[in-house]
Amino acid sequence: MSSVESEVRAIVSEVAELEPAQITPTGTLADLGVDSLLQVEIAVEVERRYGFRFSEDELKRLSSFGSLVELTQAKLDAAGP
Amino acid sequence: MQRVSDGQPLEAGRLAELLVGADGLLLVGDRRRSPRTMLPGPFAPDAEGRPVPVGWLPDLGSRLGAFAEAAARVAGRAKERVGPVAVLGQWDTRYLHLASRMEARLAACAARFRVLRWTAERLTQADLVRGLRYGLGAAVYFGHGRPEGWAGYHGLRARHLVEQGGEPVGAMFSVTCLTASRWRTGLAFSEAVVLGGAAAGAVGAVGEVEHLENMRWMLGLADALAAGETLLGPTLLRAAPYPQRPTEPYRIIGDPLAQFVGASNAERRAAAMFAPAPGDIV
Repeated sequence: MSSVESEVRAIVSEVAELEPAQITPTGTLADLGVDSLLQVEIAVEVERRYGFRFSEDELKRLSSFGSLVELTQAKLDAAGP
Repeated sequence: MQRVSDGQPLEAGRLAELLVGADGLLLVGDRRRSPRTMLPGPFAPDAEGRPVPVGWLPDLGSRLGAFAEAAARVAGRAKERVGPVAVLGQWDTRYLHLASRMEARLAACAARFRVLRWTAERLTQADLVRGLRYGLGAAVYFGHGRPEGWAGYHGLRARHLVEQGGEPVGAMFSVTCLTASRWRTGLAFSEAVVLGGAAAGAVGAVGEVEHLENMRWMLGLADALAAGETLLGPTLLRAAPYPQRPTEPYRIIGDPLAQFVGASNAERRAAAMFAPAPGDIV
């Protein structure tokens, strides 16, 4: 598991009040009980952790924990070292 | 006090010079100018690039007196008595969610200041107005906003707060659209609240603000308060979404260093406000 995946899982776990083991890459956020309002809060916590901003369009494309991790990693890669 | 312009918006370079060594700056200018045109955001960089909180007020002559008196009253309150802080919100799922999340995040601050949950499903407009004019330390509103006021509480306007009289709030945050906009109104809500002496400082937006942006500010404000910030400008500096953009939707109106300290009996009076949660057995 990458450090990004681990950290994002911790954020989802804290905000959504879920056990980390419940959060799998392929499970949809809706299946985890994460509604659109909570999804925005999770995304903003991820932004604050890494110092970037998601766009509205990017957030609309988020469907699963795995997609959130992928998008986070992609934005970090794009920002460079 | 210093006259620095002939009424035109200040050049960035001139403003940067004025900000060197300053913790904050209040710009008073031509009443025809609006918060949007006078300032780029809640902060402006000094000559070394350091962001400094900058507040705005239109020069309405003798009407500045009510602001000056309110700002002085708030500044004169005992600094160690932070709060109470009211979390306000329109009766709508989205905004009640924001209010609930902020309330939850401020729960850790219970030892330092009292948090009041005064969202619109819990109390009437009349009670809200009365409660705010007890002179709270700060109030944060989530909901729809318009240039003339909040959509929540059946349409709160500045005159409701000003005509009520009482003690000024330290700072009022409108985490919503347009409450610092002059669009089709005389003074913006945030300007009128401060000029009427109902608050020493206010924060409002000059345009539309997306929910995503308001979530960013809510989390930032909660973190800043939890970190111990007690002044308006430094709180915004800590709360602002990162990376900062050259322009932000929000503006500071009035005292950029207003402290979140309530009037001496505000906490006791506010605690007695009847604001039960739905489902509470009363």
